Formats: sequence, C-alpha cells, structure tokens
Amino acid sequence: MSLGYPDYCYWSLATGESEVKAMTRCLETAREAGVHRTFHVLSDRGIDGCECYDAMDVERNDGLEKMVCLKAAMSRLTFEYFVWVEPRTVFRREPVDLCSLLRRSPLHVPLSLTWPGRDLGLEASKDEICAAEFMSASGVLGRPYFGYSQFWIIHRDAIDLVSNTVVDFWRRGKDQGLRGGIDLALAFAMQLFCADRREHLWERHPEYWCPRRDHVERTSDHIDRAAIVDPVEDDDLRIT
Amino acid sequence: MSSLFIFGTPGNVGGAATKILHLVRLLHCSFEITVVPSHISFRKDRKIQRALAALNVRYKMFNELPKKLDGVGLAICELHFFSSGLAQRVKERGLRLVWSNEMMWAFKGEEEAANSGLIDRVLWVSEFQSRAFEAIYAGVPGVFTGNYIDPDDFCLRDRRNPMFTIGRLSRDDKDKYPLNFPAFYEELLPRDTVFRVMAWSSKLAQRYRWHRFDKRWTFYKSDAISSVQFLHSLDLFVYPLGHRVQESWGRSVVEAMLTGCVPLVPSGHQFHKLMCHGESGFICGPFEEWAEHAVRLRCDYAFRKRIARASSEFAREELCSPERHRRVWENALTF
Repeated sequence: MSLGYPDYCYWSLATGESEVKAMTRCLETAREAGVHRTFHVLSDRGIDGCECYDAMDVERNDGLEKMVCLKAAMSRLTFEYFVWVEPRTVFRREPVDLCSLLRRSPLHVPLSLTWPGRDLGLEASKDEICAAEFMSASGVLGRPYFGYSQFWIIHRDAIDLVSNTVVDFWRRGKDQGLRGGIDLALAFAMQLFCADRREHLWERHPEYWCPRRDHVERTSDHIDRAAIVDPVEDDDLRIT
Repeated sequence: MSSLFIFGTPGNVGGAATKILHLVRLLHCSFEITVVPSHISFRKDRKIQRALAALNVRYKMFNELPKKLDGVGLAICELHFFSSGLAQRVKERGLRLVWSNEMMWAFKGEEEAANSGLIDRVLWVSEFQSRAFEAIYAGVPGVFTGNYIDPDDFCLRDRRNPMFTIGRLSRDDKDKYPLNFPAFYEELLPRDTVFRVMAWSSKLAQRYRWHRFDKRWTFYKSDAISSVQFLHSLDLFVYPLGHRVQESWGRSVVEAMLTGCVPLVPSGHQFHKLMCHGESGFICGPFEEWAEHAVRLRCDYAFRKRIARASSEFAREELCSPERHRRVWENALTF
C-alpha cells in the first residue's frame, strides 16, 4: 500500500492435468466474478491468464510444499500480501477489503474450534486430542484451535518468520507421529501471530471464504454468502 | 569480615549488572567486597566507580589481583566465565566458587564445570530455574537466594496518564517478545491507548517490520532514560513473552511492581511466586484473559490504584526486603 506496489496477489501450486484444469477453472470463476487481481501459479506448464513459474518438480510433502514455494518463489515478488488459494477454489464474487481479515496480524489462516470434519457435539478423536496437546506444549495458550490451509494470507515481510514457525512445528509434529500436516502447522502459527484468535475463526467472516462441505456442517447460506468457496460438488460452482 | 570477590560488571542497565550493583549495596557491610569486572571498559564508567567508592568497595581487574586469595568468589551470569578458563583460575587462586546463572539455559562450559567439582555452590533465583538444571547440578550444593532489587531505587508513585499508557521493559532478546507483539498490544485496549517500550533495538524493529508502528508507539533504547523514570510513565506493565522462552524470575516485573505499575504477565512461568493473581498483579492465559483484566484496570481507577499499592507493598515486603535478603545472601556466601 504505502510502497506503491499492488496490495496483494493470489497464488497457488498446480501441476499435472487435473490441478491445471482446476486452476484454469478457478481463474475463470474469478474473472467472471469481477476479480482482476493477478494469479501467480507454480506449475509444470503454462496456464492461460495466470503468471506461471516453473514448479521445478517440487516435492509434495503433506502440504509443506506450500511453505517451500512461498519462501523460495513468492517472496521474490513485490506484493505486500500473498493470498494462497487451492487450484480447485471457486470465486463467487470479488471479496471486499480482503486483507482486513488479517486485522493487525501478518497472517490470516481460517481457524476452526474443532478438527476439520468434527461436529462440536461429537467426541474428539485421538488424533485431535494429541494435536491439541502438542499445540499447547508448543506454546498455544488456552484451548487450541484448528484450521485450514486451503486459503490463507500472509504479509511479505513475515514470510521467513512464519515459514520457520510452520516448518519447525510441522517437523516436530511429524517426529511425534502427529496427523494434521500443514493445516495444523498453519493453525498453530496463526495462533502465535495473532492477538485475539477468535477473530480468525472462519465463521466470523462468512462473507470471505467457506471451507469444504466434508470439513464443516455447511449450509447453502454459507455458500451464498462467501466470496471464495472451497467446493466439493458441482452446485458449489454456481456463480451468483 | 571475610572477603567476597564478585565477578561481573555492575551497572544500571541489564538484569545481571543491576543485580550486582544492588547486591554490593546490600552486602558491603557484611563482606569486604572486591568487584572484578569482566571487561576493561568498566574503567570508563565513572558513575558506577563513584557509587562503589561511596560504599568503600574497590574494583580490580582479574590480572591485578594477588596470586593467592582467600574468601569467596561469586560469579553472576558471566557469559564466558567458564569457557574463558576464568572459573578455573579463580579456583586455582584459592577462592570458594559460588555461581549464579540467572538464565534458564546453561552457559558454555557450565555443565563440565559442575561435573568436575569446580563450582562449590550454586545459587537459584527460583525453583522453576533449579528444576531446569536438575540434571547438571546433581550433587552440587544449592541455595535459593531469589533476586535482590534495592527497593529504594523504585519508589511507589500513583499515576494516571491523560492517555492510558501500557508498556514493557526487557532486554532486546527476540525470544522475550511474542511473535504477535504489536498486534497483541494494539488489540488489547481501545484505540486511544499509547505504548511505550524500553530496551528496544533495530533487531526487534526488523523482526516486526510487517507491522506499521504509528505515533502511539514510543521506543527507548536501553539507556535512554532510567528504568524508574520509564516505569513511572506507565499505567500498566504488560509483559507477554515469546512461546519458547521461560522466565527464571522476572526482574523488570518486580521493578514495575515496586513503583506501583500493575503487572500483567503470562501463565506457565513462575510469576505466581512474585504476585498473588488478582491482588498484586494478573497472571493471564489466552489473549481474552489479558484483555479482560486490562480493560477493567483501565476503566476502574480505584481498582487499579488499590492493586498498584498492593503490588508495590508485596514487592517491597515479600520480595525485596533488605533484611531478609541480607540474611539469605550472608548464608549463601559463607562456608
């Protein structure tokens, strides 16, 4: 903002036929919805309408590749913020003032009170309990939250610090046999980098992003309100 | 009087330096004290030299000391004390060696020194700290001395700033600051709050470069103003810590308490030994707890004043009583 370069861009990683096809569709929905920001994509081929960079055979590693790509490639661009979207993402309208999700934090990861996919009324699984204990032992004060890695925003000047925090947690978690991968590691980092965690719960800001139906009890109202959707069914692709 | 050689550099900036200076004041009538500064640059610090002279305490560099010494050598938080070989030379000259680490981690060569019998006695600032060193110091006699702060240096003052002011004082160790530090401060209270931070550095500014610090923020270098002057300017001492750090004691917290600056500190350390939650300070978990207490303290001046006075009194009577500390330290430094 203050330095004269564009505020933010969207970015992703799309390799192979199906991801490239999904990314192409993602961009189409964005343009149809009136989103004119640039999309920077690490890929193994060109994608019409996207700024593409050689994905260099980046190794898929339980989501950790997102942090590798962020640090190695995206940090070279001059945007102030980077907004990660999965290739399968659908835009339904242009999000207004998207970076307000950050509040005063350099990171926004949509948080969840429970392990994605578990209803509040159901008992927590062993994986969820272990993950919560590990987050507490690693420095989260209060009851730990979980989160999603399908959509998140980061300030460019926090890339190193956030990446190091995420990767360190991810590695220690893996050593402990923890499940949850990058979702958990990003949720952990989110809770260290923000003040009031409740403000980063995805349900607090339903007008911006909506997770997959198999992750939450999602209503049609959720889909209708969200500008950006992580879809699982064709009817989620409907543009309003 | 028996001789006490204090290895370390007294001063007014930094926890260890201040502790040495205050200990010299406390103990100068109990021991014949010689301060042995770690660095030659101490010769330029006329102010501290005058303070020592006024107490009839001399200072000498190590190479100026006689080859044979009698008494006790006390080393406090000296980074290279073991790795430089100084500890070994102190013992060779005939002193009993007492070591006070102050931190939650071992210095280079400390473990080997403890294992080899070089350290005759180890001093702890808290049980929390001693537990962290259990494995290293098995078999070495230890004494809990706590941390002495001369209460006369931190007088109680009622305060009510026209702009509500929160702040903190701590060395510029990045682990002492939480990753969310600027966001934490700015979201804690309404927008018309101002923030003061002392002992800030370019290293910290670089770490938080993602944040735009506006005119509500004032940063002071470590020696820009005196600690007491800084603490008098705050309405609340808000002290969140990094997720990796463990505070062995919390000197600046107690300094704040002495002046009547109400502390808000994180749970999971040993601050419950320094204050009674809700009576002389607040020990907080997740952010919402910090915000709840901060808002109440801001809105209710009578409540804040009552806590401030209780905080100061507790620090003065329970944590920094010169009489009590003198007895403890005389015992710890006598063989």
